[in-house]
Amino acid sequence: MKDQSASISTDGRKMIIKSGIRQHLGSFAGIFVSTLAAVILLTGLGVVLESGLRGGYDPVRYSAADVIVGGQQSSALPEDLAVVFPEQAALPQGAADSISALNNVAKVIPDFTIQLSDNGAAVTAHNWASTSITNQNLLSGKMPQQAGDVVVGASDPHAHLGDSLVLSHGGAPATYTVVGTASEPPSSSGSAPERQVFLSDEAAAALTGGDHDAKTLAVFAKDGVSAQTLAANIQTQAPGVDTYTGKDRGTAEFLDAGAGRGTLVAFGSSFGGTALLIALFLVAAALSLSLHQRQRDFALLRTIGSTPGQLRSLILGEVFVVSAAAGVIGVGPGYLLAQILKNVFSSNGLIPPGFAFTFSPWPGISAVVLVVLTVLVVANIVAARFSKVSPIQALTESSTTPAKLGTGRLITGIVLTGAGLLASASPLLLHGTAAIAAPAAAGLLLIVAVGLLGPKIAGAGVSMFGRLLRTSRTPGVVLAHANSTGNARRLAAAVVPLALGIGLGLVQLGTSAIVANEAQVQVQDGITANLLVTNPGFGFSAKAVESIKATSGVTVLNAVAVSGATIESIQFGDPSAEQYALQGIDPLTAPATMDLAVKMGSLADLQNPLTVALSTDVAQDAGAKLGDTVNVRLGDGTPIKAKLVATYGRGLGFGAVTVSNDLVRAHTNTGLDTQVLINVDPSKSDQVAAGLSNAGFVVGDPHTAAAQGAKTRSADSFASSLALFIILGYVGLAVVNTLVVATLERRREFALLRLIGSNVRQIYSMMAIEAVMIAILAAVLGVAVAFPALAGISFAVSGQPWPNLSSGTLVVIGVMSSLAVVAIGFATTLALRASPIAEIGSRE
Amino acid sequence: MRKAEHQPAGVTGVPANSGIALRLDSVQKQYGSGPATLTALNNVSLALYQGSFTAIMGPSGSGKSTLLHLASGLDKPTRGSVHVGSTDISQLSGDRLTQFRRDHVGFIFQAYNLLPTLSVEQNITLPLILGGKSADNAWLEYLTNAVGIGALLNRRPAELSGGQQQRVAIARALISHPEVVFADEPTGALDSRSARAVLDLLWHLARELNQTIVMVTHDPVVAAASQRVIFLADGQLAGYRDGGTAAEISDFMTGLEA
Repeated sequence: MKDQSASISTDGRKMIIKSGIRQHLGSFAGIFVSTLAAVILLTGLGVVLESGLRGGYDPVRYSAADVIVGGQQSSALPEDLAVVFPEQAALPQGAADSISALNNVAKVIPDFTIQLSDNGAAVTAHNWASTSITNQNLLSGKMPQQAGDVVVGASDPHAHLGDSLVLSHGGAPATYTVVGTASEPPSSSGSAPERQVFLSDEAAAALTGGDHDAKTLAVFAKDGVSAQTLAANIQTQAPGVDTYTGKDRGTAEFLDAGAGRGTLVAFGSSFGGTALLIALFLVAAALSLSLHQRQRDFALLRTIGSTPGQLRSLILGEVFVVSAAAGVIGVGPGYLLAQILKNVFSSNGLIPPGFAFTFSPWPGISAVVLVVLTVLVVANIVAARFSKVSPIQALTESSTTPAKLGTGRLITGIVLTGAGLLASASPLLLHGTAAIAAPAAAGLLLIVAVGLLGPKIAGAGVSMFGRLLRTSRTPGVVLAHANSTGNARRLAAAVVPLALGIGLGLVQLGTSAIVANEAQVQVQDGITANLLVTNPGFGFSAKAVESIKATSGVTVLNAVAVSGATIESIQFGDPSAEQYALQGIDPLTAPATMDLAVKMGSLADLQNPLTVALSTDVAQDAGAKLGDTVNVRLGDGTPIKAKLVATYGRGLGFGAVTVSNDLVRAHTNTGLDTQVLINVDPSKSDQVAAGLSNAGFVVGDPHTAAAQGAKTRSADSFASSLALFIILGYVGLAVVNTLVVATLERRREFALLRLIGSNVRQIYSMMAIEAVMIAILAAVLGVAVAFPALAGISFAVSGQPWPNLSSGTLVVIGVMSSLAVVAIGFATTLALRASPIAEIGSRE
Repeated sequence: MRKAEHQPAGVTGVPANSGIALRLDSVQKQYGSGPATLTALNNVSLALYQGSFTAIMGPSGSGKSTLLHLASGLDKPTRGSVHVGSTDISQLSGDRLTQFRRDHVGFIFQAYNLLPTLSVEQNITLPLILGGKSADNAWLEYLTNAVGIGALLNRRPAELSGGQQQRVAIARALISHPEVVFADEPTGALDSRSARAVLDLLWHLARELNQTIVMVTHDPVVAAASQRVIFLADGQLAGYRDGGTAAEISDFMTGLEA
């Protein structure tokens, strides 16, 4: 006999799918909303990611040059992301000469850019030769030749031909004579025009950091030579340089946008992943609720002879239609979200103004494909459970049975919970940065575990609540008790996503709060100097530091320069490179002005060449003991082999890598110090402070010093708060949708209650109790998920197991859990609007 | 067959009397206003004795559902008054009407009569729970045995057959000793055997517990189970018949529709 039931005709299947969707619009709303929001999010984050990789600035000053040449700005590691150096890399020795010697090169022009200030206002200085990169001409006077010569823009509001002009470099003023005026530079769209002056090539070189050589060359090709050809020739002729052509020249011009790029890539990829993970759970919850409501339909289909496979393909068909539709609709708003994110980023300084996003079709296409595939995979798993149910079992299994979890899911959940708890406890045994990384990963493990075990845990929580409510005779309580114990699945569908949201929020916000807090505590405890002197935006030149040292009443001075260092080591047999905050100190005066909590060795040994001090955590990571040689790359990427002479405890506040001040300054763009710590003769304290203020410096209480990396941390923390806000919004939307759908589906129940004599107040009180129960369970479960990880991180960072959390975490708990109350209240009001008799009279 | 115009059904103008469980006096119900006014029920008066089992029949649009809503206090008449026992419920409103319904009126619907998350016992005592009262255990036991579900008290509705669910609904309707039980197509969702059993049960309850029951139906077979059938047409009483067979009732209905 032919097995006719084995396949339904395509038309028949289409018909059943269509009618299935039409019949169950309400329950599909959950899947639709979750998918739609996931596609919007992923499209937006995809644009952010792509922009981090490919977006940026169009060249302005460099737009006329064919090829821009710079030092090697990153070090490539096998099987890892390249490490990008924070300071501009130096060109290899003799690079300019060998490039000039190339046949097809018309000219090579070095470019210097130096930050000066005029009474506290920023002025950018370039070398005169660079005018031929930008095609600026001398309009009057002569070009600068002497050290004290300056050429200003023709429309400069403050200086005219023949004036003398006082410009400070690193807080040290110098008087210049305006010897000429030049035409306007090419204008950039977006960013505000900066005040520009030109110095002689020698004077400009003298003010630049490092060995006073140009770090950027603009190369012009001979006629008929393409930029690409020239770039390739340069690469061969002068190995060890980076070349930039076309739009990429903007990257070289706006090197400081590099940090913004990193933020964008990290933001896009890490939160894209989280969004997809959350989408997975939300869709699973929505789908399982929706399929459960239709169990009887499936039983009917099974009874009349459809196989589990057919049923499963029907469900997948429905889910595909719904999610694909949602996906396509979500792409447009996704690009809109990217535009909004760009505005938020640039208005908060995460990316420099004028940074352009790349809008290509790829983020949209990949978001739809990725999300729809994920939804289908989830649907396949969820559908398997429902399609296998025997017809009789499906007909009799009531909506009140507790959620059953598959064995695989149960075991996976339990294993992940165990792994998460172990990882959270790892700081008890481990040290170093791994001790922070493990609990942070543990947070994610536990969140996934709750996603898997959630229905079971929520069910247990509900029945615990039930025991508390059982003794009451108040009608609302009796009903709520019956509903919660009788329909734990319905509550779990809301509790689990809310708890996931709360857990995620707490881990994200908590981790950054713990680190930032500990860093600030370390600085407060660690700075022992009397006064902290800063020159915001302009730093301190050697001359300025000398003049402070010479001020009467100053007894001890420690000038601090900050940058970033890369430590290269072998981790588990593979080469690894990690970037840390780097501080340069005066090895002799540091002990009198700062207490780094030295554990071993002595900071004074840093006065010897090629020495380094590391925080104990980083020393541990690098596997270095006192006296060992450590491979360090300084700010501009210069590698040194340094002897480890000290380890210290306050690396989070001061920077994890410490070397002598000279060494840091020699490898930064500016060659300037960042802040100056001084001790003063107590009787002259006020006098010293007043004198330094008059000189234009900011004098403050050392305890107000910002911790090293505080700015980056707060930018990162803003970015992650923003991402968190978006993702929690997504979770909230899905949960509100689930609750509204689930509550509206209880219209007949409400109608029946009203007909047999309950008043509206009693129904509200029943629903209020259920809502509060959801809120409390979600909050408890969310905190339980996050706590082990946060306690582990806190212990690793500060030695205290009790995490020091910001008030933001309370807001997350409060807002997420009150969503349940608001959504249920709103839906109950809607559901009570129709007259009960009309509701009950509407035949099913 | 007597025609309604000559012989109004029930008793009109009867003074408040302990023997009367439900009385409608010149009840009119209009929906809307102005030219769009729809008169669903026009000048209907009737009185039902305690312990009577009455069926109300009529073609769709005849006003039988409106009559049920007005008589049970779910809706209020535009004109006229409705007495349940000695209470004029057309004068009650809001929570007092809800409370009155809870304590003095029982309901049985065609479907979705029970809350799925409550046990059978909780479903039956729900009106008492809502009123903050406790159940009289002897009465509960008697009632559940009388309707034949004494052994099912801890089950949930989904575990019962349709006929059993309807018996639970009947027990719930009776738990608060109501003046009147209103049943709206109570057998509409049942197979003929279960339907027969439920109708027999209602008949016995009316007789043995002296329980007044008013049942709305369009099915002559169901109506034939009652003591008296009252016919409605175009919002007015169209006649009544005591103890007819299904065929006779069907003939009368056909006459009304013609």
